Amino acid sequence: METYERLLKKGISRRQILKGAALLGISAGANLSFLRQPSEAAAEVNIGVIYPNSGALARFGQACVNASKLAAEHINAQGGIKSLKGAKLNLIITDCQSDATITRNVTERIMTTHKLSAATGDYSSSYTLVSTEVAERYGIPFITGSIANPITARGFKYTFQVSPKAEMFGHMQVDTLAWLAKAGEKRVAIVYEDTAYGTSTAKGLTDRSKEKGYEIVLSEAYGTKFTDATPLVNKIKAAKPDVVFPVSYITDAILIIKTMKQLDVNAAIIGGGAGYLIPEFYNGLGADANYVFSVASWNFDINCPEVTKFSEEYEKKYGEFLMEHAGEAYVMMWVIADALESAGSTDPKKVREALVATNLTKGPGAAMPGCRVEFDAMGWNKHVHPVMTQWQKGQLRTVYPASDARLKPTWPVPPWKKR
Amino acid sequence: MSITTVWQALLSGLLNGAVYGLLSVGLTMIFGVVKIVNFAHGEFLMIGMYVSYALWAFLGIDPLWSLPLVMAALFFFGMGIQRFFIRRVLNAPDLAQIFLTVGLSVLMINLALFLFRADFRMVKVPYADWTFSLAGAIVSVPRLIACLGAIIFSLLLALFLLKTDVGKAMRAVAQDREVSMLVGINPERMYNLAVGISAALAGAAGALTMSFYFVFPSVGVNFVLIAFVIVILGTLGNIKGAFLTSLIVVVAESVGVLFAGADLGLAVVFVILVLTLAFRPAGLLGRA
Repeated sequence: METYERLLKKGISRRQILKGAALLGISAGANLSFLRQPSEAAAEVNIGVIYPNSGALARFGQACVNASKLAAEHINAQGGIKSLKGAKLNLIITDCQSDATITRNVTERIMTTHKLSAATGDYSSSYTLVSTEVAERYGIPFITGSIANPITARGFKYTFQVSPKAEMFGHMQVDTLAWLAKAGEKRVAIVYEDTAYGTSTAKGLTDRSKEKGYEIVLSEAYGTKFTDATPLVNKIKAAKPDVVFPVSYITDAILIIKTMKQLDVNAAIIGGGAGYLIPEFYNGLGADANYVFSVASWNFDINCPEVTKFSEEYEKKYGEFLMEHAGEAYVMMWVIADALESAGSTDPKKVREALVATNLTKGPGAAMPGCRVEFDAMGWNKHVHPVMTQWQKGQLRTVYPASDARLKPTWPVPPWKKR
Repeated sequence: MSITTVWQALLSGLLNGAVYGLLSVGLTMIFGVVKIVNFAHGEFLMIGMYVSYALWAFLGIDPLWSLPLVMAALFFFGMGIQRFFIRRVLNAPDLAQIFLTVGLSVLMINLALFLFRADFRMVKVPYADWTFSLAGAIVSVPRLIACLGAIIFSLLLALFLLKTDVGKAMRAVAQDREVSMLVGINPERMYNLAVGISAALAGAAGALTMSFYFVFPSVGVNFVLIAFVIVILGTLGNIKGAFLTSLIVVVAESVGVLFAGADLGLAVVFVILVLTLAFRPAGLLGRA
């Protein structure tokens, strides 16, 4: 208090002291946070985690973040990165808010304010295309589970994709029909959401359908924000398909199936992933979800060791089954950990070299369909293939290909009125 | 393209159009009486949906039974918005008014995001899957109920405005504020009522859709874009115009999808808007 009065006498006002104190506090805080960033031989490795935690795709993003955190916990619990003296993974999680412009901003922000050794994200191909471009500029290796074809077609050195490509999704949807069809089903309808994910997958669907000689009776893009699926399903019904190949996110997937039941459209449904694979699909539709097929880049029951173990742990901790991209998020964290082990360094350049040389055949890091993770020259995991799942009695089970199938599919699909 | 397909498109357009009508008459009434464009109107619908959902989730009340509660809650909320926010910019330049309601919209969406997260929530009612056939087209019972509810409330609004003294007073304020003061009407009170009633109607529109749609923070945005097209097309301030135009616009989109493509349904609507405004700048019903 003495000092205060002395300062007052010298003509410095209380306001100036408060301002000064505030400035000092902020700069001290800023300095401290700078000190917290790890240097080479430190106890932490920073990994960027970018997912939509708000907005239209928040549902998926939040599950991916949870899975990433669980993986980091497991990795740290078994001793962290041993070649870095037991350094622990430190996840820098940021929300891209289901918006491509914001994705660019937040990716730039974490890459400039933290020393990242690697990054992962963004669930939706539209955001991943943006984040990987930023990562390429800053030289941070970026691993993703997104699927749109352009992701690994740009000749980027720092982009790595563990998942199948979108057109493989489309191919698998049609191949499943070829495998299942016994009554000469020929008429197919392709309806798809109109962003990168939908259009890439639809291209695969269209090409393969033509190859197999199917008749494409309807090919229609739609915007996911509709409040009534009746106009679209009305069109599907008029086209009289045997099978419908929809590619949708959440609300559109649920509304389409509901409306197909209401309008009594009895085509088999072989979906393109995303909304068809999540707990809400079953919660929103109940028994109507059964018999719906969907292609997936990953499922919790594929035939790789360790999958059952970490899927069950996730379910125990978060109260719902480990969904497609969340499972991949878990796997990708282990791929990163493995790369850090071989690199023996937190330098992103060295981590990138280690990723290029990745050849995982066991452990959670290899738990993609095909049970092997190895990247080709374009950064794509060349051993991966999609799987086909079907909802049976409220459970999403893999039915194709045989190497991964746990259950036989139910075919033909009974008509709505007979269920 | 069979006649049944077109009839189905027509019918589902009419059913949905009525609900958009309920939302649009409120929007146009605020413009007519208070002379302000309410960019936060979609959020009245969103709040109505969340209140309806909460009453179902915590107390097990079907959205149809809780409708009066939802409307009452939104009525007071709307009055509050008018009294505490809109009143302050009534004499300010248009830009300030736009900023206010747009700002309120952003605030409410993000508040909902913060409180309820982005999850899509649905209400499960026993009649959710009931359908029946009407001359070959399938009618979904929840949507039919929503349509009937929307028509009933719109008719009640019309009766209120035409037959009751308060309603006539509100129309007087819409016609000429100064003169209505001369005959003893308090415009402030009419503004409060107008926004309150509009909010209640928007909330009702939301609650009526709970049995077949989802609620999430930005759900208002999905509805309000078309509502704006409707009120402009139907002449700003004209309630009959708003309701009729709702039916026309939603049917146009529904049938447009059949012929133009599922992602071009809205394009059809906007083409109609541009053409109509080119020939009738004040909207379909003439005088502004």
